[in-house]
Amino acid sequence: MIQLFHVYKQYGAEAPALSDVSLEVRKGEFVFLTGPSGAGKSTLLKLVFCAEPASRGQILVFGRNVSRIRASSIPFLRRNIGVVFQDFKLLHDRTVFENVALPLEVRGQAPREVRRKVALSLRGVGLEHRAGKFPLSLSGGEQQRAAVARALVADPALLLADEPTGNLDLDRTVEVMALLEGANARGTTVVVATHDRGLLARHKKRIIALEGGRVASDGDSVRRAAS
Amino acid sequence: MPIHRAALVVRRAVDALRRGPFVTAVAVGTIFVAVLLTGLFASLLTGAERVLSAWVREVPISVYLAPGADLAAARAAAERLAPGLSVEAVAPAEALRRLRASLGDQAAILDGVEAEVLPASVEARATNLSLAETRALAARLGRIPGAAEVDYGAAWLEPLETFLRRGRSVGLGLVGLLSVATAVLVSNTLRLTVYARRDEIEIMKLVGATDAFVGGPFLVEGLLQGLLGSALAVAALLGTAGVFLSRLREALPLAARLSRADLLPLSLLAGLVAGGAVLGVASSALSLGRFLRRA
Repeated sequence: MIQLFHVYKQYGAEAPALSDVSLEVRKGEFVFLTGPSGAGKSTLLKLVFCAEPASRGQILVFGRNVSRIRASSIPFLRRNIGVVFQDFKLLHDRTVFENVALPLEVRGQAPREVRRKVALSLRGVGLEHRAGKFPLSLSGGEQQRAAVARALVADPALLLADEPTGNLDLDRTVEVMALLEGANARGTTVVVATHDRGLLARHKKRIIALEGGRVASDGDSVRRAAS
Repeated sequence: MPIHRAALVVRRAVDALRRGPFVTAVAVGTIFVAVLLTGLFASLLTGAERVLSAWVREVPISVYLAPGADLAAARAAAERLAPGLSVEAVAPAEALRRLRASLGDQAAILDGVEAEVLPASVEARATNLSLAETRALAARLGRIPGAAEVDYGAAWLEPLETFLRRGRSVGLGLVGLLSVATAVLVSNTLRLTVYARRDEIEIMKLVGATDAFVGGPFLVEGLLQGLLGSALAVAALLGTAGVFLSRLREALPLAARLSRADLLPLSLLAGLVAGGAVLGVASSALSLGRFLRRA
């Protein structure tokens, strides 16, 4: 699903954000990407969904080398990827329904189909009664659930979540993680970037730890350390 | 493009216009001023050209004959050279009668003047001919037997035509400059809209929107602003032309037959509306292009 080969990312003259990163995430996996702030977790996710190009190295997503991808092909690659952010990135002047509908509208789906899928997705995250509300009238947990609904509404093969529970209390964190695990159970590959050690301890998943832009460890050892 | 996609693009464009009334007003106002100025200049030129054409039709081509020339032969030759035109032989006596008539109350100053003082002439009335065609016809008529001089008002029509031709060139240049200036002004205004909606653009691109999907509503927005601005300018031009024409008719008898359609023909009005629409779309494309390249 995702393969990185000796990937580097450097911003100007600063120390590299990523340095010689090689890893593989297989189809159907649920992977935590962890490490302290500045370790390179968000940068790695950005490279995977082509928000930024790698400075060196090769990145394959769905078998496609995104280091060489044409700009005009990026939107079509992104349509297979759902992304969830710590700050939700919802449009405040659109209703929850309209926010969740956006990925389907982008794909040119018919209005009836959009209504059906959005209703289904909102029911999946327990927000069907909030469809007509604007994001700022929702609690943080509800906003993140709306963001998850938007990320999953088009059934992406890959879900990337960058600190999805960073702004949530424990109960809301449990809710959002349940949604991500549910998506994974239905076949979506999930990569969650987090520095929340408690989260790693509660979920028995593969953990890739980054430190200073390098892969420090990959597997169960970090989970043991975390617990 | 499926209908629902087109409807979505238009709906998003109209929503955006409603959400940013100030920017919309500035963009529409700028396009209004540019189209109004262009239309004023174009209608003045068009009107002047119509008046010039009317003058050309009013003025006969007069071929003055040398003393002793055969008037009947000259007329026959003129009819051969200008088939289909009204050709008239004017004997000196008739010429003197017309001169007296044109002097009205002051005709007495011609008392004692012999008709033979005036040359015989052949007059051809050129209806529906342009100045260039009139000029060519006058040159041909100059070759009839006994022709001494040809007059078709060249002394004042030619400089007027040159003036109008230069006016048209200068006008085209000015309209070009005005269009570029307006496009830059409107695009800078619309950049504010694009900048204010950068989060929306970023999120749309994150969920897989193409540049065309992101840009479509902005272009439709520009199109609607252009159409609105130019439609208002056309309405203002029609109103102004109504007032201006009645004053012009009083001041200039030759403008009596000038109608509103002469000053503002349908083709000009359609061109102005289309020009405004193109200006709106071009301004949007300019502002969006700069943003999408950075996004």
